[in-house]
Amino acid sequence: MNYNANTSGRQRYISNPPYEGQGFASTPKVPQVQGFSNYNAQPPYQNVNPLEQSVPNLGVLGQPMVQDMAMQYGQQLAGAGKTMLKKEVERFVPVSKLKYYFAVDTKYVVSKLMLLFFPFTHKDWSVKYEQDGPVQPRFEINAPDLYIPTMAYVTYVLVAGLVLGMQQRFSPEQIGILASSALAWCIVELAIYSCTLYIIQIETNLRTLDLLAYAGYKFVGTILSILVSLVGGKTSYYTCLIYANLALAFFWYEVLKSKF
Amino acid sequence: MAFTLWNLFEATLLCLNAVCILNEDRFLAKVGWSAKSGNVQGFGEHPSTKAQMFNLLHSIRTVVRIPLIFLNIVTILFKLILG
Repeated sequence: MNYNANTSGRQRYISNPPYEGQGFASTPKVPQVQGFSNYNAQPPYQNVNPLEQSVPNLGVLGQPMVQDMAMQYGQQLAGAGKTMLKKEVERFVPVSKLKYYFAVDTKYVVSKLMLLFFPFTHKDWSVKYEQDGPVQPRFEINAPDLYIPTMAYVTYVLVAGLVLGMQQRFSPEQIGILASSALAWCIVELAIYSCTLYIIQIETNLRTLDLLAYAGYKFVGTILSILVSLVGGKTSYYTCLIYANLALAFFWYEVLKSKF
Repeated sequence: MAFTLWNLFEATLLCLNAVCILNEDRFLAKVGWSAKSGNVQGFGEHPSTKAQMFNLLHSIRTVVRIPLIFLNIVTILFKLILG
């Protein structure tokens, strides 16, 4: 308990009475590393095993006080480095804003998926607000999230690969092509939305990540259509696709109505 | 048929090149597609759609000019080496 690393340097020397008597008598200033060489004559902890020859002679670094100081200095450095790194990363990728979109739980995901499949009976589309932003998706079913679109995107790539495999048209490159193709279309869609919103100068509190979330919801419909096509064939695929698109259009209309 | 990220990158590069090449003062002002020509509006009014679009193009031009040089060099090298 003397080596409690979380205490500050000053506190640590106060709480270490067994060493003060021996250490400070022979070393005038604590931070001076040369002063500790007097310690090599009688390190207190080596009295426990006098017969053991295998204890390595660490010299200065063997002393617990020096070890402790080195550990604390290293931790300070690491802490400073971590904050600096976080600041730099935050400039390019807004991590704290992203965290909001992934704050979901199972209940939210299930009810949101039901809402995407059948949005026609939902009555209340308003979003509750906290002091500076919307409530987390965990607590508010009408808030957008990025968890469902990400998962739906990955599932779409896998399911499309599966269907291609069932039709003997599969090769491993197809997965890469499908993934980058879907991502490229998403980026194009996002760019068109952002440019249009800028040019027409609509006053809105929609953020880019919100647009990304709403654009990503369409993957849920495509997955459903592909799975239905496995069972029913071409006509069922097209009917399911048309229904999924109508439901998504209705969903978008209701959700975006209050944003402008 | 596949529309991959590389295709998207090439397409954006070509479009950005097209936006940056046309000189604003010498050519676009003559056609009337410049962001600087004749913006007579009051302070509190919203700029027109055309003015907004030209502002967007002008800002894209300013920001993208320097990185575009490097992107073009990189793309040319890629195409030379990988075909």
